[in-house]
Amino acid sequence: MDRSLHPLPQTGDLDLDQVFREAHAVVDAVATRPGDVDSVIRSVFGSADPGGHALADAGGARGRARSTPQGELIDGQTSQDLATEVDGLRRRLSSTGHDARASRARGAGRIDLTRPLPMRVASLGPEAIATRGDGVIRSRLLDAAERLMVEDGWNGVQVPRVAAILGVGLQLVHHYFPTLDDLFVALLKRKVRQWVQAQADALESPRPLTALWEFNRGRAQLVAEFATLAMHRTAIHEEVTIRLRFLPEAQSRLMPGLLARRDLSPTLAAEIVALLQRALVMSESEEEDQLLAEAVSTLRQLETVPEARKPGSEPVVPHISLSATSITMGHDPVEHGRTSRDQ
Amino acid sequence: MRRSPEEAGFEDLVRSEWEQLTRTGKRYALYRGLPPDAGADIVAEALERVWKKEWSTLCLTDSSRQLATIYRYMQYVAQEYARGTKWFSPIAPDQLPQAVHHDRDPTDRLAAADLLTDVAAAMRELSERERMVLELAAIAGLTNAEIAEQTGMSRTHVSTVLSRARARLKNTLRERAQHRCDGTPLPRQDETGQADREGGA
Repeated sequence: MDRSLHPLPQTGDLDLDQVFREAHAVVDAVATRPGDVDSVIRSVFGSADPGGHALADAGGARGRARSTPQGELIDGQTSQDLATEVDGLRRRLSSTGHDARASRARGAGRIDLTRPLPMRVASLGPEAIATRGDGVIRSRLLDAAERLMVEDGWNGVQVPRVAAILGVGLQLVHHYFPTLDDLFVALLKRKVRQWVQAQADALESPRPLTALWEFNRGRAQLVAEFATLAMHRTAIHEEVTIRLRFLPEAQSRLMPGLLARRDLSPTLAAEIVALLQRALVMSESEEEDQLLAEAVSTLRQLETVPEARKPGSEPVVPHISLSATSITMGHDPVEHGRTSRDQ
Repeated sequence: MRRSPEEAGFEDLVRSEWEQLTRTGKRYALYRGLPPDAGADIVAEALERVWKKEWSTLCLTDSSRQLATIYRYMQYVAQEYARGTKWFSPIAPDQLPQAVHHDRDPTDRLAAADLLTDVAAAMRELSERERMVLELAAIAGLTNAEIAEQTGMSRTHVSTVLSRARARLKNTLRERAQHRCDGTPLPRQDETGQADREGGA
């Protein structure tokens, strides 16, 4: 053999990486029969189920758990189905003007937890009366929770964050609300109490339908959050649904009498109430846009009648846009709650 | 036929990495002195074992870890094949193609065959553990952290074993180079490598 042809250097340092590079090049250049990926995969899948060995080794529960196909939920609903369902729900919420998720995505109004929030008892407003006897601390905790819910959604309401907003310890929050569910329920109770009061005020106002409409717009976001909450936290599902249903019932009880005073037929009033309710968040119909436009026009039509009869009064121009798409409910979500921080 | 998510993930991985897998299988085979076609068998066997034994949990991890596991199984399989076959065959020069990319003499098939024979022989001198770590690093291209994860050794131990293996390999290669150059006798070696001693019947 001609020794000069030998690839390895006889003297000096040996670069092992270089040796491997050359050897790899030699190996890679060797011709082999082409591998068939299809037949390999077929033979692999035909060999056995995954976890078959584990089943034989461990037996029992572990093997059974492993043999459950990944991505399949217990009730047979695949994650794909769930995703589409969630998508549909999200679209429905956004079509009814629930814009909290979008505003969250934009990062608008995010709470800076590092900065202590100046929260004054004086700013509590009418709900101090609503929560009479419950104590100031409790009501401030609920304020913080409500603000988190408005700004970050129901998912943003967490005990540590509530405590951080007020600058208190977790223990204080837990003293008043042993579980997060308790906090949610207390918040809901308080909001419903406020809403009932606000609704009564709206119905007493000179323009009840517009006031009612504004009232419903103002609370739409929180209602949506509570509705979503009821789906996610089964423990308080009952509580939430019952209380959310209370308000429309009270409304439909009060409406006919009020409207009768204004020479409107109760059937028409019932119709507009139904339309209002359906156009709002709780609706499950696919034609929300159409319903919304219908509701608004009926509203204007109804309200113009009594006002126009008064001699000398200026024509009513409800400050509601007719275009259904431009109506964004919940754009001013804390309208009936406590004032927001930037005020 | 609808595939389960596990099957889909496995098939996607194999299809996307098929080139790399076959190339690595061929390297495992040839450095072990197995015939070149054994590479495809190594790949198929290793894939089957990974699918049976590991995939139910492995499918939840990232693809680099999945690949690393496949390479480890290929290393096992190549080792078993080499134990089962008692012969050690350096690759015949006529199996090599005409033009081998080679710095010193691109056209010399003998030189290429010699290089491969030398490297394969030098690797046989390593201990089982050294050889495994060196193959995973140099052939499969795993990082030290991945080797540590796959073999259950600590990273520092992997680093130690790898550097020792490289030093021993270098030493052996230099001895063989001198032997070819001026006929210096090789140090007395066993006829068979440690892999054969441990596993060969």
